[in-house]
Amino acid sequence: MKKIFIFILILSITFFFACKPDQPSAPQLNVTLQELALSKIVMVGNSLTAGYQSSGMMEDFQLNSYPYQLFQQVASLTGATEFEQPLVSEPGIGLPAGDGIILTPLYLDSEGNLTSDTLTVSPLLLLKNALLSRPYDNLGVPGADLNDLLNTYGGVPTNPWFDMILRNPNFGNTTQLKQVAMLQPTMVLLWAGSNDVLGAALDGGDLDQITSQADFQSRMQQILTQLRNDLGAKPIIMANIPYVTDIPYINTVDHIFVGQGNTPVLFDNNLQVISFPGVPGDGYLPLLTVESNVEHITLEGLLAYQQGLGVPDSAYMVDNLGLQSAQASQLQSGMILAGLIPTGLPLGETMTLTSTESSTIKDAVDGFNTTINALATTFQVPVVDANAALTELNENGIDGASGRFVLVAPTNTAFSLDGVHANNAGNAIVANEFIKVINAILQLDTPIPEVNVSTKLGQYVPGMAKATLGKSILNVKKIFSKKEVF
Amino acid sequence: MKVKVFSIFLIFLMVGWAGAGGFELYEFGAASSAMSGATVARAWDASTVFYNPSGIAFLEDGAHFYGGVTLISATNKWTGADPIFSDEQHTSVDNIHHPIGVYFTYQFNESIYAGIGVTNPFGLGLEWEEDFPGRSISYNTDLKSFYVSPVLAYKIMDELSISAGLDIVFGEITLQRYVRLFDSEGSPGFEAAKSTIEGSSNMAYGFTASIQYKTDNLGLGFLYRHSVENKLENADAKFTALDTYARPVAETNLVDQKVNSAITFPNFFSVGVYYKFLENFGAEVDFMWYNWSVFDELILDFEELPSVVIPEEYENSIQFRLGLHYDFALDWQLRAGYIYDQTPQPIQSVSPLLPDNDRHDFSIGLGYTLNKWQFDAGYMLVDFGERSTVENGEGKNHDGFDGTYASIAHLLFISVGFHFE
Repeated sequence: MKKIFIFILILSITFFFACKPDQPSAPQLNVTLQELALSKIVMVGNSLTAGYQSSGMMEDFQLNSYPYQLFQQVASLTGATEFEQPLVSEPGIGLPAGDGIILTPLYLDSEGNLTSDTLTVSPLLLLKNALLSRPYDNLGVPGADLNDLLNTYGGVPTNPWFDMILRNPNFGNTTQLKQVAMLQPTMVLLWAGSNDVLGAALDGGDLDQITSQADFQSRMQQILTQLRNDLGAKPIIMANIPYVTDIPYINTVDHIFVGQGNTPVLFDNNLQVISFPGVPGDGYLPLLTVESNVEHITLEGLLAYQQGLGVPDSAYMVDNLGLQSAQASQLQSGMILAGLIPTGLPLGETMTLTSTESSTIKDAVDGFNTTINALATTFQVPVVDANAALTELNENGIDGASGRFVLVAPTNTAFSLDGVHANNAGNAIVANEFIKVINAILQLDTPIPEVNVSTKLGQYVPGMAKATLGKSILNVKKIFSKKEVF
Repeated sequence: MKVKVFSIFLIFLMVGWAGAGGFELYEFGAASSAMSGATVARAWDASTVFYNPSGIAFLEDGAHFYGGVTLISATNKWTGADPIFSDEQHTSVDNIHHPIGVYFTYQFNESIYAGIGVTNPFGLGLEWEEDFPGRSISYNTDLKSFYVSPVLAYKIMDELSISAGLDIVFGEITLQRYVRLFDSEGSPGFEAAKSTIEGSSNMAYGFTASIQYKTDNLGLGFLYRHSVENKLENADAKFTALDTYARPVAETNLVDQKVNSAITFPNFFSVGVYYKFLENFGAEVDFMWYNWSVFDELILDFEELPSVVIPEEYENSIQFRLGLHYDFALDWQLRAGYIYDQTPQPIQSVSPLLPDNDRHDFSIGLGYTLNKWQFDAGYMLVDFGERSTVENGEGKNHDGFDGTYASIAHLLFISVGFHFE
């Protein structure tokens, strides 16, 4: 009896000791992988992503950046509440003006003039979110090109934004891409590369500023390789590069190129070409440029023109146009009456783009976009065709918004006052382009709603956000400093 | 613009560094454990110093020694919730834990008895492989408590004894996990370091008060054990930065430092009835109540890093215990028992550190008496069943670490007793 008990006991204990729990079956969460992809979206790029407008950064702009507008649309589905940006308080941080002076972003003063003020406080005091203990969800850094995404973590003397946004050494001297990874996002939007060609256009066709196709290809490949290594299969969506010559900074006065030679002629302060009495033909007088075969005059050229550059004086007309001095003097008086300042000095080469320069720049953009499409296939990255959207904007408008500059289309322009960067409405259009692609790849039961662009029209006026302008603007009075337009 | 304060996703520490459900251990003595610890109403050996010290007055006249060890082998399995942790299945590392229980009782006269016990009544060991996806919550925890419990009992009358005792308590802890930085809404953050916390608590004190009534066939017992506030002071928090983008941040901010914390072991009472149905067969039923709501949150006070508050939100819990003995031959005893152990842990606190559940424990054991010697051995199966942090498709874990846990523990008890007449 005893022995049987002991035997059974030992046997059963041995049996039980070997017993392990079964592997439980996987519980199912009420969420799809596609919905999960929306839980943490991080955007990386340059000023277009940062929400830079009107030559500067300011909270009102940033809260209308396409990343933030897109986040708000996603949040309307998911209930998300957290999207952090390097917010800059009013009056905002604009361009440096030398001697340590920093300007505010451009704005329209009460007379409708483009204006910017001198900042009277340290820019650091305007940073509202500098102590955030993690990287920002919007990692657009104004001025960043592809090389910067890969290698720059701060300390760029000519561009304080790397320090203000990446905040190194606090984050271990990490680049934009590394900070993306440190956030462990579920989706990344990448819009980069326009600064690899933009400078060439803004500087009036300085082709040396274009990154070579080989370098662009290798850097973009490195960027996507690094993102894929860090993120695995998580969705990455990338936008291509718009034609940087199809922006108001470059094309605002394209209509003053007339005649068989398609040459620039004098125009008044309403940007209308002037027909001078007594001048043969249409009565147009040539606008003087250093370069020949000019196709575009930049906004910097427009400003210089308003100060007299490019406007022939009587001496010029006598010497070069074969006019009699009496007629030349009369025409000069007419110019002055029209608000022009005759100097006889031509617009410099940095203010104009020749047809060769324009086509070289467009070819570069085409090459970059071909590279983007090829790499997108390799890395399984859907592409937002930002370039097509810009063309559509310029040709037909999008949702009531226009691609023309505020001087020409004050109430419905999609561009901010610097003529390069989108305004709130332009950012809404970009957000919608991304939303369309995200909806297409995720196939959500409830798609992300698009932004109503018409609610975003109008330009920022200090103390009067989203004001709609009623009158046309006559003068570009303040400086566009091309080298510092990021 | 120095960013010094990094929010740190520190889910450290001594979750349930004590307790029923949580991880109270039952193995105070092989004979009692084989009866699932249902021994508050009847003393069987000197381990009654722990179960109900009034019982030392009802042991045979003279002094008693009783001591032994328990071998515990627990296996935890975890399956991640779809679709966040698709195809993630993990099993804990096999470790054997061996808490002890050693007791000595002494009779001064007809009325006054004394005893002392050294036990590890609370403890936890749970280690996961380092590829475990919950490693930033915990991948290795090892907790031990040491109770030194001197007691005095006074026999008021032949059938009734009361006692008072002191618990002198300290604990040892090792906690290992990965540290994530930069967490935010929708993201758990970035793994940047490994951390180890090691330390011992200060000496802490508690007390017990108990009563026991005994006739030949009937036993009644009641024990109250007071809460003990354990303070972990100057424990060592050590960090090893991982080779990631965040390495410099980790090296700068996660420096080795001291950490303080405190946790209160809950007070509880135990009440039971023993009845001897036959000369060689008896049974006991116990009811226990634990004031687990004291474990509402855990505060980790780092010397340099910001304090971390972990919500635990435990609820009060109960246990039922049933113990049986059958003396099937001369000098031989067969024992068995069952415990229903309600978990105090709310679903949101179920984590890799301590995935608890309502438990069903089944015990069996054998005793042999040889003159003044007593030899006891036993076995207990602790079945946690399965517990998921997903309810109706919704993830409930407060860190978003959702999945289903399954656990089984095997306990093997061996004790030896000696009676000094």
